[in-house]
Amino acid sequence: MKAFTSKIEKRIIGLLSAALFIIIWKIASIRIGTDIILPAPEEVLLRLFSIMTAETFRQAVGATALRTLYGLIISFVLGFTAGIACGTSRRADAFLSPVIAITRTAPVMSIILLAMIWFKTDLVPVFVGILMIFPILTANVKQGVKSVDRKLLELGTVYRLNRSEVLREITIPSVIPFVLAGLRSSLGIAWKVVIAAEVLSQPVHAMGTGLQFSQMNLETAEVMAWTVTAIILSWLSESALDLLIKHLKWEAPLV
Amino acid sequence: MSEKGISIENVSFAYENNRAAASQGCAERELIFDNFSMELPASKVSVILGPSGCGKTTLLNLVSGLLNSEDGSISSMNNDEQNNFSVLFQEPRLLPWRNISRNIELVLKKHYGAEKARETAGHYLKLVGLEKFTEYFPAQLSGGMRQRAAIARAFAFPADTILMDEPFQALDLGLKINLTSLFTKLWVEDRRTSIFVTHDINEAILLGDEIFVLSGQRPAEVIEHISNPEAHQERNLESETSINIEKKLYRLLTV
Repeated sequence: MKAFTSKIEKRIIGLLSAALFIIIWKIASIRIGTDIILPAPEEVLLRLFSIMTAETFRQAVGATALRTLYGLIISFVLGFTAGIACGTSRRADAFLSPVIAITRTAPVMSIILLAMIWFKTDLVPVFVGILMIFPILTANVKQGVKSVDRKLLELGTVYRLNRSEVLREITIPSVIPFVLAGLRSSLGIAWKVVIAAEVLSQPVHAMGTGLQFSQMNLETAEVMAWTVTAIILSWLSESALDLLIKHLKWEAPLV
Repeated sequence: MSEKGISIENVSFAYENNRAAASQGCAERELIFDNFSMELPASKVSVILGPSGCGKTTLLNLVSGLLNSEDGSISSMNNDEQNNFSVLFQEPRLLPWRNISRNIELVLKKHYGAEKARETAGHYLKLVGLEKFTEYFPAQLSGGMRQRAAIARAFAFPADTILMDEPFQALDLGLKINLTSLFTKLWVEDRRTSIFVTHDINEAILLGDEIFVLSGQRPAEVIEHISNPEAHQERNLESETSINIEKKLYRLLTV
C-alpha cells in the first residue's frame, strides 16, 4: 500500500484523471457540435495563447493579482489583530463576534452590490475580498491563541514575564502556523471572490472584466481561456505559499 | 546566597472545577491540603517525597504561585520582599522557536539587561556542558541536553528559591545519575534554598538535606521528616547513612 501512495504514482494517477476529463470534454464538444455552447479543448488552448499575447491580458492579470494580494495583506493585518484580541480578551471577543458573524454570513453578492455604490470600481474587489477573508483569518488566529501550550504560559508566569513578553515570545509564535493555515485556505477563495467582484464592478484592467466582455460577445472559448488562467494563477500562488510554509517550520515536539 | 526559607502555614486547598481535579486524580472539591503547615529551611535542598497523586505537584504550584490557596499563607521567612522562584519542570519547557541561549536570555533580560543576560546565559550553558550548542534550537538537541538547558535556565535566573517538579522523571537511569550530579555541582556553588519533589527514593537520598515524606491519603500530611547529615559531594547510595535512610523511606512508602 505504501508504494501506491508514492509521489510518482500519485502524479501519474493525477495526470490520468486530467486526461480523462479532457477526453470527455472533447467527446462532449463533438456531440454538441456548437462552439458557443461547448468549444473543444484545443480551441480553448489556442484562444488562451491568443489572449495571452495581448498587452491588455498582462495588465488585467497584473491588476487582478495585485487586488488579490492587497486583499490578503489587509485581511491578514485585520484578522491577526482581531484574532489576538478575541483570543486574549473576553470583552474584545464579545465586542467583535457580532461584526464577524455578520460579515461571514452576508451574501457575497450583497456585499459586492453595496461596495459598488460606495467605492470606485478598482476598490470594490479588494473590499469584497477583505470582507470574505478577514473573518476566516480571525477565526484561525483566535483558535491558535486558544491552543497555545498551557505549559509554556505557566513558564511565563513563574519566570515573571510581563504581558507583552508573553504575547511576543509565546502567543504570537504559537499562532503563526494557524495564520499560515488560514492564509492557505483563504487564498483560493480570495482569487474567486476578487474575480467575481470584478465581473460586476468592471474595473478597466481586470480578469473579471475580460470574462464579462467575452461572455457578452458569446466568445465561450475565451470565457474558458480566462477561467483556465484564473485556475493556473490560483494554483501557482497556492504552491508558492506551500513552499513558504514548508520552509518556515520550526515546530518540534516539546519533550 | 539566600537566607530565606519557606514557611507554609495552615494552608487548605481543593481543585475548584472537575477537569483540573481530574487531571490531578482527585474528586472535585476534595481537600488536598487541610490546615497544612510545614517549614522548609533556607540554603538547603528539601525533598518532598511521596506516592504519585499525593499532592506534591499541587504543593509546589501553591509555593510558586501558579495556584492560590483558599486560606492560610505561604511566605518566605523574612517577609520584607516578595520571594521569587526558578522552576524546573518535568519537561524542559523550552520555546521551540528560540535557540537555547535566547531561551535563557528571555527570562534574564529584565533583571540584567540584554548584554549581561547573554553573558550569564553563556556562563551557565558552559557549566552544564552545552557551550558548543548555544545557537541550537531545542528540536536539534537530545532530551537530556534539553533538560540540561532547562537546569541552566533555573540556576541562571536570580531567584531565591529553586523549585523542582520531578525534573529527571522522564530520563533513563544513566542520564538521571548524570543530571543529579550536575545539579549537585551547580547547587553547592551558591546553596540556594531548593524544593525538590519526587517519588524516587534514590533521588531523595542523593539530593535531599531534609526529606519530608507525604502521606498517600487526602488531605495530605507530612508523616516523617528525615535529615541527611552527609555533605552533598560525598553522598552515594552505598554509604551506611544512605542505606539506613533508604530502609526507613522504603518502609514508610510501602505501608
